[in-house]
Amino acid sequence: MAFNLPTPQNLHTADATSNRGFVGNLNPGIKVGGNLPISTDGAEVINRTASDATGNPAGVFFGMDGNTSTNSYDSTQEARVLLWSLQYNAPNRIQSSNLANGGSRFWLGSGSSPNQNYKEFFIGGHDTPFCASQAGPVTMCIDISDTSNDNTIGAFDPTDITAYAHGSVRTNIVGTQTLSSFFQRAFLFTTTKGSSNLPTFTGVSNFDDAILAVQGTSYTNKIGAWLTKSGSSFFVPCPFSFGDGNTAITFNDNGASVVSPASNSQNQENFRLTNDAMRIYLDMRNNAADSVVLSGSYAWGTAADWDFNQSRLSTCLLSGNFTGMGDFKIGSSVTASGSFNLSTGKRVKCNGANINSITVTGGLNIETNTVTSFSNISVTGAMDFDTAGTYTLTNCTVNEITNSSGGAIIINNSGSTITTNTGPNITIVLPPKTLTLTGLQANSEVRVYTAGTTTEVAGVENSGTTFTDATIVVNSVDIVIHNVFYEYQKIEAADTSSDLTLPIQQRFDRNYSNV
Amino acid sequence: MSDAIFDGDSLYITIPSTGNFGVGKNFYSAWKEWVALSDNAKYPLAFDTTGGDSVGGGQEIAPYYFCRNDLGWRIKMPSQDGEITVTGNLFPRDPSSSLFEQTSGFDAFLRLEVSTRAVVVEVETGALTATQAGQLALIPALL
Repeated sequence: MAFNLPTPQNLHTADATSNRGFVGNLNPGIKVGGNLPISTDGAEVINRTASDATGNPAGVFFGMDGNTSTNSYDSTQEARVLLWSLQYNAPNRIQSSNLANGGSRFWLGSGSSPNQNYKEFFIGGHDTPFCASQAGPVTMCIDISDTSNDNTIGAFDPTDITAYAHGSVRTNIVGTQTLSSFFQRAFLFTTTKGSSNLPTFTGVSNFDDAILAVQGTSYTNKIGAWLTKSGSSFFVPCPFSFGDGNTAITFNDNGASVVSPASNSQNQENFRLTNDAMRIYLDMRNNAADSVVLSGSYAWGTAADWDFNQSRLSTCLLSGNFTGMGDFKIGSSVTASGSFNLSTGKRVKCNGANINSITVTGGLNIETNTVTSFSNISVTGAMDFDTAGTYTLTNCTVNEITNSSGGAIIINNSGSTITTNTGPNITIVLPPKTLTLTGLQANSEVRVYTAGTTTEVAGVENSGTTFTDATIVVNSVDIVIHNVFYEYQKIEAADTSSDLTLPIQQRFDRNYSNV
Repeated sequence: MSDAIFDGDSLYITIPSTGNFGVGKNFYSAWKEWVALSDNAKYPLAFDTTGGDSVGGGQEIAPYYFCRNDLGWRIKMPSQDGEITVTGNLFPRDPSSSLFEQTSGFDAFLRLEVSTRAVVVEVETGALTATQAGQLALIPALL
C-alpha cells in the first residue's frame, strides 16, 4: 500500500535569509523555515511584513529547487503544480489586508532577479478562508503555467521560472502582532504520464494511503495539510497516476468521494490551475493481477484529461460517477459502466473499452472498431465513430450519431433509440425480425414486400402449411398469399417492427376454373 | 378462346382477339394463373369476386367479377376490327371510372352479356367443376 510522492523541492528548513531576493521593507528573520511539525518550532518566521507596512506587500523569494536554487523551469513545455501548505502565525489574528488589496499573494519569479520580474496572484485576504483565523495550514496550489495572475511586475519570462514567494500586505486588524507565515515542504508535481515527479498509487492501495502519506499519523511524520479527508470524502489537489507502469497495483477506492479543486473560484483564489494541472492516469503493468476499481464519485473542478487509455492484461473498472473533468480516454483494459458528465465539450473516448451500460452526459467517441457491439449505453450528446465499419447498438439510447471516419458506418439497431442521424454516410439497419404465417394451404405462393412497394423482402413459390422468414429488416410489410384454388389474399402494412406470427385462413375460390 | 393478356407494369388486361370470352375462365381464372407466374404477385390485385356458393339442387349463387379499375386496371380491346362477346357478370369496382379502352386504329365492338339470375345451374363439362378442382388442390397437402 502506497501513495508515492516525489521528493519535495524545498523543505524550508534553511534560514529564511537564504533566499533569491525579497520584496518590501522586510526582515526575513534568522530562523530556519517552518517545516512540519509546525507546533514544535512555531517561532520559525521566514516571511514577516514590516509592522507598519499597510498596503505595501512584502515577501521572500525562494528558488524552485531550494532556498537559493537557481534552477529554471519552462512553464510553456509542461504544466507543473507547485503545492505546499503554509500557516499564519498568531492564528487568532491574521493581520492581513483583504483580497481586493492583495492581502495574501503568490509570486512566481523568473530569471536571475525573480524579485524584480514576476507575476502576481491575489490568493486571499482576511475576508477569505485563506487568511481566516484559526484555520490551520492552508493550501497553496499553483500551476506555473497558469495565466490568471492579477499583475505582472517587470519582465516575467514563463520559459525561465526560477523562484516563488508568498507575499503579504499587513493590516492592523487587532493588536500589533507581526504577520508571519510558516511554510511546509513544497512539491513541484509534473503532470504527464510516467514523469518523475508525478504522485502514484502502487500496491494494495486506496485513498487513505494518500491521506497517510501527507497527513501522517502524528506530528513526527506529517508533511503537509493539502490533502484532506472528511468522512469518506477526499480533497485531492494534485495530479496522480494509478500505477507507475512497473510496480504491482491493486487499487480500490471503496466508493469514496474525491474532489479536485476548481481554478480561482470565489474563496478558493489560492488554486490557480490550467486544465492540464489535475490530470489523472492509469498506468498498470501488463499483468492480469493488477486492477483498479473506481466505484466512487469524482468531481473535478477543472477540465483536466483522464488518460485511462490502457490496453493490457490488467483491468480497470469504472463504475462510479465522474463529473467535470476533461476528455476521458479509456482503453481495452477498462470496463466503464459508470456515469460520466464531463466538462462542457469534453468527451469520453473509447479505444476498445467495454462500455456496456455506460451513461454519458455529453459526447462519446468510438475511436476503434476492435469493439463493435454496445448494449444499454446512454449518450445525451453525440456518439461519433471514427473508424468505418459495422456496429451494433442493443437497447441503447443515443441522442445523435456522427461519422468522422471518412468511410461508411452501418449501425445495426437492436432495440435502440437513436434520435438523430447526422451522418455523413451512416446507415441504420434494424435487426432482422421473424415473420411466420401459419395455416397456409400447401403449395401456396407467398410474397412479402416492403409495405407500399414492390420490393420483395421474402417469399416462397410453393409453401408448406407454415411459412417462416427470419430476415425481415423493415418495420412494415405487405404480404401476398396466392393459390389459384383459393381466393387471393393480400395483407397490407403488417407490423414487423418485432417478430410477427399471423394465422392464415384461405377461402376456397368457387369461381376459379382451370379449363 | 384465348385468355386475356395481363401487363402488370401498365395495368392492362388485353383481350387478345375478337370473338367470345368467358369472364370466369378467360379473365378471372387467367389472371389467377398469371399471378402465380414469375414475380407477378407484386402487381395490384386485378379482380375480386363474389358468388359461386352452392345453394343445393345443383344450383349456386351466380358469380360476380369486379375488375379493380380503382387500382388502375383497364381492359383493352384487341388490335382487330370486329365483335367481341364477353359472357359473365363483369363490373368495374369503381363505377365512376371507365373500365374498357379501345386500341387506337381498330374498331372492336364489345358486347357484355350479364345474367339477371340470382342462381345458376352447375353445368357438368369435361372439365373439373369448382368443387372438384378444390378437392384436387388438397391432394398435394396430403402427400
